[in-house]
Formats: sequence, structure tokens, C-alpha cells
Amino acid sequence: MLVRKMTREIRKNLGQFLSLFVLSFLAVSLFACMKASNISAYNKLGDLRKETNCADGWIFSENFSSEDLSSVKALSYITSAQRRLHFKATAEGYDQAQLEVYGLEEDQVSMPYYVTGNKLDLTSKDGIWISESFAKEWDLKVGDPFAFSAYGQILNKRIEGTIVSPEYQYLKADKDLDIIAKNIAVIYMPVDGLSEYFQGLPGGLPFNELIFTTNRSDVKSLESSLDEALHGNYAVLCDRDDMPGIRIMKDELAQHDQFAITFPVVFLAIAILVIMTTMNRMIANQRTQIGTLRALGMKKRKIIFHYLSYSFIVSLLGSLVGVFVGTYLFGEGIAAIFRAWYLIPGWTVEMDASFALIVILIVLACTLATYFSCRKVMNVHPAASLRPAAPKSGKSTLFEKLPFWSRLGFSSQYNLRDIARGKLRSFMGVFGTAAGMMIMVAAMASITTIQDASSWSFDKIQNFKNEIDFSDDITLALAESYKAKYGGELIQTSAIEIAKEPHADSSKKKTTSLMVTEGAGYYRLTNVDRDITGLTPGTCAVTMKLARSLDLREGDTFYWHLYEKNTWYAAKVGLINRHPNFSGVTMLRDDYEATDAGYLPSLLYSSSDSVDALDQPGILAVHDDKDLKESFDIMMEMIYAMLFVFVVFAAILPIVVLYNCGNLSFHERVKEFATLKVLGFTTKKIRKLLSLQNLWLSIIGVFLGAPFGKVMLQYMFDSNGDSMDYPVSAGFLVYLVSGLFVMVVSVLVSYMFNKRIKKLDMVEILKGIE
Amino acid sequence: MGNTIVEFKNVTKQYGQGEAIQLANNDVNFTIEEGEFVVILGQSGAGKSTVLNMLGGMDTPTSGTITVAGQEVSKMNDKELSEYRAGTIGFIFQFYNLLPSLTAIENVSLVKNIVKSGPEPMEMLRAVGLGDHAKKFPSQMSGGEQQRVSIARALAKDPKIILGDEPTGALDSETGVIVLELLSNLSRKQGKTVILVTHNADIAKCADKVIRMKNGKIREIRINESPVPVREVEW
Repeated sequence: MLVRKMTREIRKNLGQFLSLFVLSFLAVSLFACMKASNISAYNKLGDLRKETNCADGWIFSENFSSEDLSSVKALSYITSAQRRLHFKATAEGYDQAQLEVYGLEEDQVSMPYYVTGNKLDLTSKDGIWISESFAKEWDLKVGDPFAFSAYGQILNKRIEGTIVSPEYQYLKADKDLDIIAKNIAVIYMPVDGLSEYFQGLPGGLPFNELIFTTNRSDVKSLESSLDEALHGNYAVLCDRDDMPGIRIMKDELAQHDQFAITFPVVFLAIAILVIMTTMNRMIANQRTQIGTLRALGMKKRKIIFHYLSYSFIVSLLGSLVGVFVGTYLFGEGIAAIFRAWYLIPGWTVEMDASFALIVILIVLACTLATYFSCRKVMNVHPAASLRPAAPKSGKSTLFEKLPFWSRLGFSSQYNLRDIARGKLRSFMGVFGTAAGMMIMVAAMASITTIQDASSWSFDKIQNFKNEIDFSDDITLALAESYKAKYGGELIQTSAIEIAKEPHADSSKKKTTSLMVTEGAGYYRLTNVDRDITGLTPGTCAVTMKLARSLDLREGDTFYWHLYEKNTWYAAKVGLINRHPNFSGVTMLRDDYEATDAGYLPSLLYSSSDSVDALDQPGILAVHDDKDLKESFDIMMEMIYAMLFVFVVFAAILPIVVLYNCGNLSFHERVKEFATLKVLGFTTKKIRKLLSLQNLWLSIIGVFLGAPFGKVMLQYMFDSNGDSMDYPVSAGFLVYLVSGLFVMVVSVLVSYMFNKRIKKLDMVEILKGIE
Repeated sequence: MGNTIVEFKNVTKQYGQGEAIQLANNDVNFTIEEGEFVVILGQSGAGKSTVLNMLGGMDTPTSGTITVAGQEVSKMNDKELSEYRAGTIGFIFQFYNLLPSLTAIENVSLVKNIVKSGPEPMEMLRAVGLGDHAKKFPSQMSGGEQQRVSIARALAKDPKIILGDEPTGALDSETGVIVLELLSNLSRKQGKTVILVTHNADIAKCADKVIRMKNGKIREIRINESPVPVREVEW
């Protein structure tokens, strides 16, 4: 019988229970969609690493001899090791895509994962194995010819297979701000396939990488024994966290793990508020029914279970639907989006025990909230609960101490007192709209932030029309000649390690980039306020986030060395600068040349029309500013796609909470509204009275939520790591549009009560007064 | 007494459908003159509250016409009914129906949101003898005081007709007399038309006209040639 009572009452209070269903659904589905794709990513990543015997450690040097390899292999904790050569090359055609070429003499560690074609054949002189993501973009098939250039040579090869490298879940071209699969590929090929081209180079091509797997978990702790084995003949030892191709994916997954907790917490908090306010009202309304049930001899526990079952069943249903829809619809959607960026074969969605845990947690939280609402009535003596509760007494509120209180109209005074009377309900209204506003501001500001970063990059920093990329075999004289021909400024970019002390160990140094400019103003620096500024000769500029992580200030001295060399140099911080997508050190050419590191430009920034620079020796590619802006355009497309989702969530929250607030407020005041109607108040006037409160709560929510929108977005941008510095830019318009959106939702919600006010049965309600 | 202000002509009100039809009012006919103090008397279920609800513009008849102050209430739409309730009727409830979050003066003043003209709210509170209770909330007042505030609220609209649904029903005899005297004075001294619904036959002794109802029909309409002063009534 009680089940029937429950189902009928759920039907009667469908709005509130539907809200609870929606909120528990949203909380769980958000968790599920982030988590399901993550679990699958971790599992598939594990499978990939196992299948390919992915390296645990990478050692970089100018060249490793076979003796070096033998010494490393002989170490007891090394389970497998191999040396390989690695260089950058440029595709012939295919928009001069960037290629990361690996020449292999054996295939033991970080073996390719095969998607199509044959397995790696170390005797093949013509075959290459190329990234599946790139092949797919350019519709390349096994057997297709593929040419690329490096060190002034054009290598004509044939595609033998398409692969995924276990070392590149994240594969981004240097020139791109974000992943554009058609612009970069990894190529695995036998070292024999390279020897005929590079015999002329002094020493041929060097084996500059030594990779290994180990049975120890902390790779960095092996440094001293590796150093001994290699007699100090190496530059850097890296673990997986140092490899951008692996680390960035790991960071991304960690970010999703974080989102999987943060976002559901907001929805759960609102769900708890909804359930508490709903059950409080329902139980207060059913006080005499409860008294009757108890007078009839029903046990207290049974009645409590009856009321707990309302929220238990509804939140359980919402959570279960959330698990499945969140996993198989939203989660699969997320996985599909990220599959396009990150390369993990077989990545889809999977569940684990945490799903059961979150369902239990949410159902428990909602049920507990109900328990606390029930407890009060249950503790009343049955005889007392048979009588209606004493009406809520009107009393002076804090609002009445306001100096302008007496000048407020009836509606304002009435609603202010009602807010004071329904604090939990009002808090729910404010919290929900604040959350909605926060999401909306974050969504709108993401557009302006990208636009702002784009103009920062292209109007302030990049004062050139073309970027001419030199190949690794460029000579200084040749680079100078191009500079003389096309004008502009030569730039050298190098990977470096920096620390506050020379020869620092791995925990104290940071891997970053060095940019050597000529200070000619084609590439400009911007200070922490993002104003264009110059660099004082004899000093370096360090990007803000990097400086912070190393606790470097202007005037401090730091030490650096080229990634592949072990000579440390001292330098002074002359400027803390900011750049949207460059993290590292900027130095003037004269200062760099004063060291013995060896100056060799990698780029020429030119303002002249340099299109004819292609097909000239030493030039890899030419990118005009349109190319460079492409990444920003792609980011904008992503943001626009996300915007829709954000706006939906930004709307759902205020709708759910304001509807509930209105509903509760309506039910609590239904007799008062009926009285007002009898007195001659029109439907419109009563709706206005009801909506005024929601309007205020929304306005407070809008103001409270607005600053958090910026904080949330900054948190989201910052969670992308230190390599990106996107200061959130949210102008007045962002707040205006977001605020208007939330307010419009709030006003529309008030119209949801129009019909009910119109149909308010004055006779029935007034008769019902006990 | 003056002109006819209320006319019920062949008014029938039925609830439900098919076999479950209930006739709350069955062919009700009566008139009330301006300034009369009328009591509609009957036991529970007699249909007297239905008459009052229709008269108050809170319910509409199934058939028949209701005319109040020259306006045909039975034909009014929702908006017109709101205007009618606001301008013509002052309603007094059995359980006072004051807004608990408003003080006495605020409860009276709230009608100024719908009717701009009429007497000052404070003046009305004083008129019901509650000038010094203005800042009290309903929960801080006795039932009789609350009912007086409710009367002041009805008066603040300066209505043509005052309707009371068992206005003394929730009060003890002594307090009931005070409230009833106040209502009777509205008719006798201010010329307002006061219509009360009650099951209490003793109250009927004070009225100018008594309309007795039973089973949804009017059984008797009696003119009291010499109404008993309220102070002399006991129940």
C-alpha cells in the first residue's frame, strides 16, 4: 500500500522528483562520461605499452656506440635496451608535414603497433612504417611511395605499414598550437635504409638515442649507475613523464579524472539541496498523515523507510540511467573526440568499480538528506503529529534593519521576508544560478580568450609575414644569405634544460625551450602585462610560468645547457615575459654566440613575400601567417563545438533550481496566493510576486557566479600544463551576455507557474485550512 | 434600505459528472438590497458557502445569472473577475488568512497594490481598534485581533459588499461578539452591504435579512423587522 502511496506522490510532485532524477543523472553521467573514456584509455594504453614493450627510459647523446649499448644492457635492472637514431625531416608534398624519423638497427624496445601492412623488416632498404593518423588524413595506403627530405637529401621510400608509436599518444607539429594530424607523422625505418643517403655526413647519422626498459619504478634513480656505465657520455636521462608525446596525454587524462570529480560535485550539491527542500516540504505537508500512520501502530522505522524510498528510488534510477547514458553515449562521444587527437589504439569506453561507488555515493547522499528531513517529524510525539504544526510565525528579519526598508513596496517586503523564512530554498536558488552563470561565463570567455590570445600572438608578438624553416643541414652562411635576400630576423630554437644551479640533478632541473633572437623586432617579447618590451643585452627573458616553477625573479642567475650537450652556462634573468604557447628562455644572438654552444639558426622570420623560398637548399618549409593562424581557427572550432554543451548545462542548472525554488515557494505560499487572488490580485500580479524572488535570487547568483566563471576557465586552461599561458579575457560583454542568458532563463521559468496560478482553486485551498 | 445590489436568478451549481453529479446549489433565487446586513444560514453542506464563493467571484455558476452592482458576475472572465474582487468585494475568512510574514499594517496595506483609492490602512486599523498593534505579526496576535485585521484589510479597499465566511467560527463567544459588532456597524453606520455565511442561528438574529438554505436550495428568506443588537446575542 505504501508503494502505491509513494508512486502516486511521486507523480503528484513530478517536477521536484524529475529535478532530482535529472540532477542525479547529470552528476553520474558527467562522472561516467569522463571516467569511462579514461578507464579505457588507461587500459588500452597499458595494453599498447605491453605489446610494444614501450621504453621506460630515454637517454640522449650526440652518439651512442655499440659498447655504450652493451654496458647499459649489462646493468642488472635493465630488462631490454636498444639504440636508435632520430631526426626531424620534412615530407615532400603533404604541406611539408613535419616528420619524426627513427632509424632502427633492432626492434626490441618501443616497437611500433601495427595497424595495417607488414611488420617491421630490418632488412628492408626502401620500406618505411608511418603513423596511421597521418596516413588516414592523406589517404596513404600500404605500397604507396612516400618521399621526404632531411639534411639536404630527398629520400624516396615506400610505405610498408601504418603504425602507432607507443611514445606518441600526443603528436603535434612544432608549428602548430594544437594537434593537426595532417601536419606530422612518426616514421620507423631500418637504419640500413638511411645509410646510402647519409654516408657523406661526417660519421654518418649518429645514434643519438638509447632507450631501455627496466624493472625499477623510478627511472631517475638509476642516473648515477647509467652515468657510470656510459662514462658520462650522455646529455639527458628522461622517463615517461619527460616525454611530451606521453606526458601530455597523461596530463590530459589526469585533467579528465579531475573533471570527473569536480563537475559531478556541483550537481550533487544541487541535488542534495533539491532533495532536502522537497522532502522537507513533503514531510511537513504529510505531518498529520505520518501521525495517523503512527497512531495506527506503524513502526517509526517503517515510516522512515517509506519516505527514504522516494529519494532512494528516484536518485537510483537517475544514477543508473546516468551510468549507461554517461558511459555509452556521452563517454563514447568524449572518446570519439579525443581519439581524433590522441593516439591510443582501441580506445573506447569501459567501466570499473568506481561507477558502482559513485552511484552508491549519490544515492546515499540523497537518501541521507531525506533522512535528516524526516527525522524531525519522527521525533514528534504521535499525538502531537496528528495536529498540524504550528504555523510558521512571522518575525522581524535582518532585512528590516535596512535603512530603506520602510520605503520598499509590498512585493519587496513580502519576498524579502519569504527569503528569510526559506533560507535553504533561497540558498539553493542562488547556488544553482551561480553555477549556471559560472559555466556560462566560462563558455563565453573561452571565445574571447582565444581571440585575445590570437591577437596577442599575431598583433604583438609575431611581427612577420612568413616563417621560413631551415633544415638541420643549414649552415650559418646560407642562413645569413637568406636573411640578406628576404630580410627579417634569424631565430634559433633549441631544447634545453635549466636550473637554479649548474649540473643540477633531475629533480631540480626543467626541460624547456630556448629561442635565440637577433632583437630586430620581427619576433617581439611581451612582459607580464603583455605589453611589447625589449630585452636588455646580457640578459635573458624567462616565461612567467617557468620562472614561477623555478622561483626565478628578474636579476636572478640561472644555468642552462643544450639538451644534447652537457656544458652548462650561466645567464641572468632580465625579463619575465609571457607568450601564449611558448614556454622557455629567450636570448639575444650576441649573448648566445658569446658562449661556445654554437649558433645555428632554425628559422627566418621575414616580412617580405618569401613564397619562392621553397625548393632552395637548406629550406624545409615556408609558412605564411595564414598557416600559423590555422591552429587558432581549429581551437575556435573546438570552442564553438563545446559552447553548445556548456550552454545546455548553463541552462539546465538555473532551470532546475529556479523551477524548484519557485515550486517550493509556490507550495509554501499557495494559501497566501489564494488569499491574494480572493482579494483581487490578478494572475499576472501574483506571478510577478512569485517571480520577483526568483529574479532576485538569480541576480545574486549571477553576481556571485560571474567571477568564478573566470576562475573556472583559467583553471581549465592552466590544467593544460605550463607550456600554455592563456590569461582568461572576459570583458563586460561576456558578463552581460551570460547574465542576460541566465536572467532570461529565470524569467522563462517564472512563466512555468502562470498556468498554476491561473488555475489556483481559491475555494478548495481556502477550505483546506486546518 | 436602497436599491438591489445583489441578484441571484435561477442559479444552479453542480460539481462532478455523470452519476457523481452533486448539486451544491439548485435553482437559487434571492436579492439583497444596498446597505443590508444579511445572514445566509444553514447546516454544513447546505450550499451556503457555494453561494458566497460565487458571489465573491471565486466560483462560477453552472447555470443562472448573478448580478452584483449592475455587473453580471456570472459572465465575467478571469481578468474581469479579478477586477471585480478587487473593486467590489471585501472578503473575510473564517481563518483570517493573513499573510504570516507581514505585520498587521502591512497586511492591510497590501490591498493598496490593487486599489489605489480608499481609506488609509492605518485609519482602518484604528477603526477596528488595533492602532497600537500595527507592527505585530499575525502570530503575535489573538484570533479575534487577527480577524479584526482581516476586516480592516477588507475595508481598506472600500468595497461595496463585505462577504464573511463564518467570520466568528474560529473565535470564542466574547471575541466573536466584538467582531460581529464591527461588521454590523459597517452596515448600520457606514451603509455597507454585509453578507455573512454561518451555521449559527443566534447570529441570524442580528441580521436585516436571513436566507436559510438546506440541501442546496433556499428554504426561507426572512426579513427581520427588529434585529437584535449584537451585544444582546449569546452563543
